[in-house]
Amino acid sequence: MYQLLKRQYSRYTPRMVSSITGIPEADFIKAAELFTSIRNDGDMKKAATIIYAVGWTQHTFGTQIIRTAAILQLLLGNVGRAGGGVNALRGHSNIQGATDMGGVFDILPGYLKMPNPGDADFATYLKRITPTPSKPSEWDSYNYWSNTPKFAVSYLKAMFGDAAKKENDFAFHYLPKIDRRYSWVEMWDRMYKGEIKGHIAFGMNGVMIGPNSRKNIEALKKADWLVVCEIFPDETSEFWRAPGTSPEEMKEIKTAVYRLPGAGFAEKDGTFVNSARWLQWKYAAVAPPGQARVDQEILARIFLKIRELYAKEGGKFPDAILNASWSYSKPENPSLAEVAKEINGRALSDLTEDSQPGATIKTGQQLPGFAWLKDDGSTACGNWLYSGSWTEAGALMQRRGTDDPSGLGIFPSWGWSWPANRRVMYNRASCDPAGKPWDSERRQVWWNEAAHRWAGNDVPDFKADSPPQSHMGPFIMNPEGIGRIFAPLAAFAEGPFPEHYEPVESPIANPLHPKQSINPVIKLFNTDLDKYGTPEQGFNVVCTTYRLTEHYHYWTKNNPMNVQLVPEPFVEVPVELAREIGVEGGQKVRVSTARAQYVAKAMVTRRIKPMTIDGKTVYQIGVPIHWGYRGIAEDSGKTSLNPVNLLSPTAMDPNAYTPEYKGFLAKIEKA
Amino acid sequence: MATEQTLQIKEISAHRGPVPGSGAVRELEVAKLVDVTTCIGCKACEVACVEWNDHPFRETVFDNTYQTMPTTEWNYYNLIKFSETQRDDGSLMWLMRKDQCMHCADPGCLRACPSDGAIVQYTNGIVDFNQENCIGCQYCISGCPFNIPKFNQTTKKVHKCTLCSDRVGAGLEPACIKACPTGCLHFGTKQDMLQIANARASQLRDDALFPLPNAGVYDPQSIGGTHVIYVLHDITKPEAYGGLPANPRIPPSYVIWKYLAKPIGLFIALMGLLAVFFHYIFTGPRLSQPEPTVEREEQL
Repeated sequence: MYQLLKRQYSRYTPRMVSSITGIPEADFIKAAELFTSIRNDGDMKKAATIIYAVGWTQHTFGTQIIRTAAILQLLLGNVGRAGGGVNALRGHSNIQGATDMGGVFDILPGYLKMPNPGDADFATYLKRITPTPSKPSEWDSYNYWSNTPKFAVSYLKAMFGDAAKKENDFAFHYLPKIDRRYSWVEMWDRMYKGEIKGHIAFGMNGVMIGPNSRKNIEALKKADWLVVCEIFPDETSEFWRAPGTSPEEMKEIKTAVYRLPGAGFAEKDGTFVNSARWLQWKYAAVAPPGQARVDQEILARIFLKIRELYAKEGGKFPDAILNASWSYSKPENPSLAEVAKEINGRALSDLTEDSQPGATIKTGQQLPGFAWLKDDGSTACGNWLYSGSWTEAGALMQRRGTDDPSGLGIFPSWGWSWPANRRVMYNRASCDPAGKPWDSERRQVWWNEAAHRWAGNDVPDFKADSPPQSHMGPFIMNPEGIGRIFAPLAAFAEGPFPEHYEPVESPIANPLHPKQSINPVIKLFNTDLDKYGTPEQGFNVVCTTYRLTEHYHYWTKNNPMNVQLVPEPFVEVPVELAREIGVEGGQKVRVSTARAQYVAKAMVTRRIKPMTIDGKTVYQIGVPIHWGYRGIAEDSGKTSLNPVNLLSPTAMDPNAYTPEYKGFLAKIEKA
Repeated sequence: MATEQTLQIKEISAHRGPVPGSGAVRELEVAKLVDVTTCIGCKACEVACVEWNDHPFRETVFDNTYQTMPTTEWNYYNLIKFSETQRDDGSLMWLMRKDQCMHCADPGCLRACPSDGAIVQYTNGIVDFNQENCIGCQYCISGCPFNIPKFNQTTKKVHKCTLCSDRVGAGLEPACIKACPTGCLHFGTKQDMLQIANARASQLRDDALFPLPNAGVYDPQSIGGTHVIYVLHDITKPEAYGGLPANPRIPPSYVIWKYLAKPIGLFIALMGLLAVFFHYIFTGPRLSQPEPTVEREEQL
């Protein structure tokens, strides 16, 4: 494997890296030497982290970048270490929670895989998604995902209660089986093609988010209905007002739009889950104003109405809706505390557990953790990873303990961290093979020979009684127990080792392999609105989009305080490029891509420098994303009114389906 | 206005032994420390300042910069100044400095002010404007070496950062400090802030990988030091940070006013009084002369 790795990356010489990225060779070598210097002279004490903002993911090769970071950290022994790891600074306060709870089309809560039409029955499904241990010689394997059936059955019990029985495969067939990818970009593509007829936008401003906003606007014109739950009128709920829509055309648009007044973050309680997997409860500061309602009330009322209609009128498949468990004390407005307890899970009959000798749990009690989950229907649990967060001991996610006995920044009684309140995952890797911490001054976990158990300042992420002599691999979620430098077949769309590809629109051909410049497995879209530009067409400036610290997406433009800080849109242009096109700061520029034009004032700066890429001078411009056609500045006629994402291409990463916002081709001229 | 909380126990009933804390010297001077090297220019401090002081939303215009407006305003006390600066080696520094009243130990505004009680300096170092005593002459504006006080055309009063004297008087930190997400703002006693600032500056100077040999603390002695101090990457070029003066001075006219013109004026006035006194002693009172017998009221 190391030989393959060496061969794969021997092509990435400092000169090649410089040619692809524009970073001067000497600077690249300096950075590389700094990062790898922590292991100089075999020193294993230090740890180094990689922290990235999600711009890394917004490429058609985003997963390749993240994978490369992970491989680097595995090679350096920076995984499982306090102060190590690959850490994403996520773009929203609860993205981690949304992902954990299945807010992605291809996973269920707790990262259980979504059923597909090939799963004829529950057993087939479980067989497909439960990995079998694959031990390297002499190595033991925990393969924790072997418990998948317990997690899946408990999830179905939480979803469907008494209707989930052994005889009916625990209501497995009530779950939807996905027949294709329902990712963001593909969803809009299908709406534009007239295949998707309705859209519920719950705090998602799809027109602004893009990519290729024009396609999204046109897609909504073709939909039968649109429901928008928001705290401000936004571009999506008023897509029919998008610039370029004539009054005559507006009259032709048949889409029925329903606007629901939602609640802002300070008007709701519940948890945020951060990138370090901490569940932290927050309380509502004020009640929602006027007719505004909290999210769960809006969703519950829609659900109850749908259930009522199914009960009255039947339908193609009423069972899943009619039998969904909904045992909240206020069905039309469930308290999030009740929901959190349901997600934690409870015992449906008296329980004992071999791994917890002497302990018993009575029927109806909250489960202390996922070790108690059963595959016989005697436990219900909404998300196995969150089991232990709201137990008989109380709401651990609400804790605010500020003690840090180890001094490592673990803070074990602050909130609650999945899994099992463990703060650093794979922390077995913080020890040498004999179970001794690599850094004796910063001890996370260790093997206690006398007690014949793993002990620690953190919760050991390991089979508690597996001695170092049995060589169990620290990566217990992988069936082979070791870190995946070489990814097995089909784990990623591209292949076992990451490779550099150019963006779909690039000023150069990939110097590594000009004939296969872009990611070979991405899907390009082919409607009349999916256009891709080339340097030959005159698009030779690299354009990127981003947020500003002063604004939060598309709603702080409704807040005078934020508007005051940055009042209107702009385009950041390097000094050298501004000189070439004869533009001074404050004058208007027109940015064009193959898809659209965008006009805004120029901010001429020395911060964005010309790059030398593949021997050519390449300019980059940057456009903040915050302005559209609804907001304080917009309503007073102060902005261009065009969403920035009119510019970006319909292209996405083939693994994570994140659109390519961070690099596409444009032209720029004085407007 | 601030109220000093000085509840230090002197005696305790039926208490044996010394009073806890007695003899402790209370450090009275406060200071705000701005570590420019860890500021990200997010402007949370600007918003906190506007909100705490209940200032209205004001319209701004794009001006080829991330800076909210060119200078502080009568109702905008706190402004991050952005500047792109080229270093000697050709590399670029994007500098962000939080600009506000420096609360000078020797305040030019106070020195310049002719109105009794319009400007006060507290023992803790805060320099505060009392608008009810302000006569709108704007001398304070010309007296300030940092271009901070600003005139409100409508009310004809001058305003500036109060270092949240209302909050500090109640034992709280200024609003900007509370809002800072990176911890680049600190608040405490002047002594403590200097200690933190110097430790940070020496850390920057001695960094093994990216040393900043000119890192230092800005606490200009030309005006006796300030109660807002900065850690700068390069103390030799404070002007690069949105025009921070290297050697701030109170305009000479006000120094002359205080040290020359005012004493001389007072001397002349005193001489006048003495002349009157000695005239009285040596010449005696001027005796009343016979007057026409007209009633006083009728004269008026």
